[in-house]
Parts: sequence; structure tokens; C-alpha cells
Amino acid sequence: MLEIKDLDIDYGDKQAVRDFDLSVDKGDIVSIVGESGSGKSTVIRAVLGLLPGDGKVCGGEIDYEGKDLTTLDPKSFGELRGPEISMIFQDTGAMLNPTQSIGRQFIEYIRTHSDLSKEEARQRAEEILREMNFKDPASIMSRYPFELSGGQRQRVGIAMGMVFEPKLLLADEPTSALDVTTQKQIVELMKELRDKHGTTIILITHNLGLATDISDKVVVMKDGRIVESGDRVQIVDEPKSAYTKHLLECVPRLEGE
Amino acid sequence: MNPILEVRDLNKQFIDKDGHVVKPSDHIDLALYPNETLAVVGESGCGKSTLIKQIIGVLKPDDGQILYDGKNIVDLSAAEKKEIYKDIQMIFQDPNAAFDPRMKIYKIITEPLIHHKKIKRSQAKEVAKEYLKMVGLSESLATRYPHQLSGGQKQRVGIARALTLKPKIILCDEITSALDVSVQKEILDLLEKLKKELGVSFIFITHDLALVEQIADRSVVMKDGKIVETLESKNLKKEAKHPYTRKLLEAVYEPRGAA
Repeated sequence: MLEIKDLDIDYGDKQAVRDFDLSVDKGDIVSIVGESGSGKSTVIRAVLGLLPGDGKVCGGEIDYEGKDLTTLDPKSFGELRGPEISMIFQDTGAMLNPTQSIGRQFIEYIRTHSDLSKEEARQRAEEILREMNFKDPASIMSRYPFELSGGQRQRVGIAMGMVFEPKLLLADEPTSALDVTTQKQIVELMKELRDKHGTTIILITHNLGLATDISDKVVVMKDGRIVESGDRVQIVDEPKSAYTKHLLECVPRLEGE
Repeated sequence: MNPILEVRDLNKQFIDKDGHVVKPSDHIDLALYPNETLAVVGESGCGKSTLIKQIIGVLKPDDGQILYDGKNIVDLSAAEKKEIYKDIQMIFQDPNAAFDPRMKIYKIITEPLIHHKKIKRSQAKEVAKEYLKMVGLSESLATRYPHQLSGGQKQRVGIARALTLKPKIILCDEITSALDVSVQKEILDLLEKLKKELGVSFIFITHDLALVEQIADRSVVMKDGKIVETLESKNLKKEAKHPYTRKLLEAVYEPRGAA
């Protein structure tokens, strides 16, 4: 479904990513794991054509269902983003429009990309908000973004990213600012999205525990390069690189004395 | 052994804008013993922050006592409080928000000493270097600005500053949650070392029970302003009984291989 080959990305004259390869099958959950500055977010932004500032792809290919995304024109990208390829960020909630109620923007978003009536869109929105652990979705819909906590806004943003059950979901640290029980709920929801609808998910995270729990495949990055990649079990039980081993050792565990 | 800090039947309530009564502190009792790390575990809205604000004296409890060294600090005069709060220091989640970006690192570290007139300004740079060494940083960072440091380095500076008044208690509010795991590990190791060398007690606020198991001697789990469970062991999976604690345990993601 997605095949990235020899990808090189620079910010200005600074190298950000080098020789990045990744092959993702339909319905896979793949995690890209690394610490700050490893280039993990840069890779995923390049897939969506959303490199910030002076970021540019300077080598390699990103093949998505036969299209090379590195050369795709902005209009075709616009058609891909949203219902087909969706992205959620760590501060997805910050992108809500502050001057409109949650309900108004959510319903408008759904209707822009579908044929649902206003009432059907409202029901769909409330349904997915309930899945995001909101006990009273109707009351959330009536509020403005500033009336919600950061965690609540984030869950609304994630709900919007997932509402169309996209074919490919790119998630950049979507839960790292959330409470652990909310994180758990959203991770379960991502798994369900894959199991029920065959959604392909690429998760960017610094949390190796989370990555190995949810993913089929894990890619470990450092300083813009892949250090190691493999299936979940191999990465956890037989890590080849010293860096992966070190990261695994740093993850706090519940193990008793 | 007597506790160094004791909270007895602490209550604080607010009326929210819909007219509902919320109780961020609902009959809270807890004790911190000398040279102990006590974890306060809970998620947003559980009342952790309100509890801390009362302990550090920026929020007055409705009723209840906070005993430091046997004295109820709620009722003390401003001058007495200033003296006591030298002994209770705090480190924050976001050092960027806690530091003045225009101040050099040595000034940030020695600010409490200057404020309490313990040293002269001319001594600041030399004194700061000692503390930088103590927290495992190079002396050369003394003349840098916060934005020139990494997140982990800034958090070490926060620890260095908290140490300058030789506190008995350090409150750590989610201090590693914004850090990479390898940096988190280094900070936790540093706290452990300081605890051994200086005999400080820590109150460590977090929502991560795996972290708690690694660093805490005891922990209390908070939900809706109440302490729902106190945990004494280092094997939380075995010990925890309360459904909410169980839920927090299930939300811990550990590296999962074939097993």
C-alpha cells in the first residue's frame, strides 16, 4: 500500500532524514519509534506533503497505491488528505476553530466530505465522541474549544481524524499529552479501526512500550536514520542494535521485586 | 519514626461555573517520612495540583492541617512561612515555564540563595558551578541561556536550583513526562543518588504506575479529590486492589514480545 524507498529529507541545508525505507501492507500497524530529533515526525509529514518551513524531500520515493507522493501536485494531495489519508498530531486539538462550537465545526467537517444530512452528521459525530470516552457528547458539541480542557480538545481532534475511517491513518504522538486511561482508550480504538475496517496505521511515538503493544512492525530511528526495523516480537525479544536494547532498558516496567 | 510532613483531614472545595460543588481535596490524609519517596498518583482533575498548592502554601485549605516538623503550617505568619518554605522546594514539569528565558543559567540556579540573602551576587557564578556538578552537568553551562540547553539539561538545572536552599522535601510535579525515555531514566537515577547522598524526601507526582514502582517507597492513588488506595510494596500488580488502581495498571504499556 505504501512503499518508501531511500528517502532523504533536508531542512534548508541541514540533513534531517537519510536512506529511509519502509514497506507497509494494507491493514498493518507500523510504529516509528525514536527520541527527540530522530526524524520520525519528519518522515510522516513528508508522506502527507506537509513538511514545515524549508523542509524538502531531496531524494527517494514515496509510493502510495501507485502514486509517487514526492511529486504529487497540491490539488491531488488535497483530495487524498482527509477521508483517504488522515493525520492526527500531538496537538490536533489546537487546530480547532476557536470561534465556532465543536458541534458546528464537526458537522461541517463531516458534511464537506460526505453526503450526510445535518442530523445524520450530528449523530455520527456524537457516536464517535462517545467512543472517545466523552460521557455526554451532546454537551461537548455545544461548547467552544476554549471551554474544554487540553485533553478534551485532543480527543475531539482525534475523533475528527478518525470519523471517516480513513484507509491510512498517520498518527504523530497522538496520545502523549493525554491521561493514561484516555490513552489506553484511544489506542484500543485505533486497534478496532484496523480490525473492523482494515485501516492501515502508522504511529509515531517515543513510547516503545506502546509501540510494541499495538504494532505488527516497529522501526527504530536515531539521528535521521533507521537503526533497526522488524516485527514486534523480534524487536522486543531479540533486538539487534545496541541502541534498541538501550531504549528497551529505559522503559519503566511493572515487574515487582 | 515521625513523619517529616503530615496532611490531616484536608478539605478544599470550589463551586464551578455551573453551580456544582467540586471537592479537589476531600478528607485527605497522608504522611511523608524522612528520606522517603512518596508517589502521588492520579490523572487530570484528581486533585493533585490542588493538594500541592496547599502544601506549598499558595492555596489555603478550607479545613484540616498540614504539619511540618510538628507545626501546622496553615496557621503560620508570613515570616514564619518564608522560613519553613526554604525546606520545601519544587520542580516543575515544564522548566521553560519556570525559568526566565533572559536569565543565564547560573543566575537561575542561585536565585533562591540571592533572594534569601545567603550569598552575594559576586559569588553566584562559583556557587552555581558546584550545583551544576552535583546534578551531573558541565560547569561551562553556567553562562548559557535556557534555550541553549536540552530538555533533560534544563530539568537538571531545575533540580540544581531546588537543592540550593538545602531542602528537606522536594516536590516533583510530573518532572519527566515531557522527556525522552533515556533522559527520564537519567533524571530518575539522579534523584535516587541525591536521595542517598543528601537524605532528602521526595513527593513525586505522576500518572505512570511503572515509574512509581521504580522510584517510590510508598504511593497514594488519588481520584476525585480522595485517596482511594495506599500502596506499600514494590509489586503493584500483586498489591493493588482498588478498581481505579487496577485500571491505571492496565493502562501501562510495557514492551511486549512473544510472551
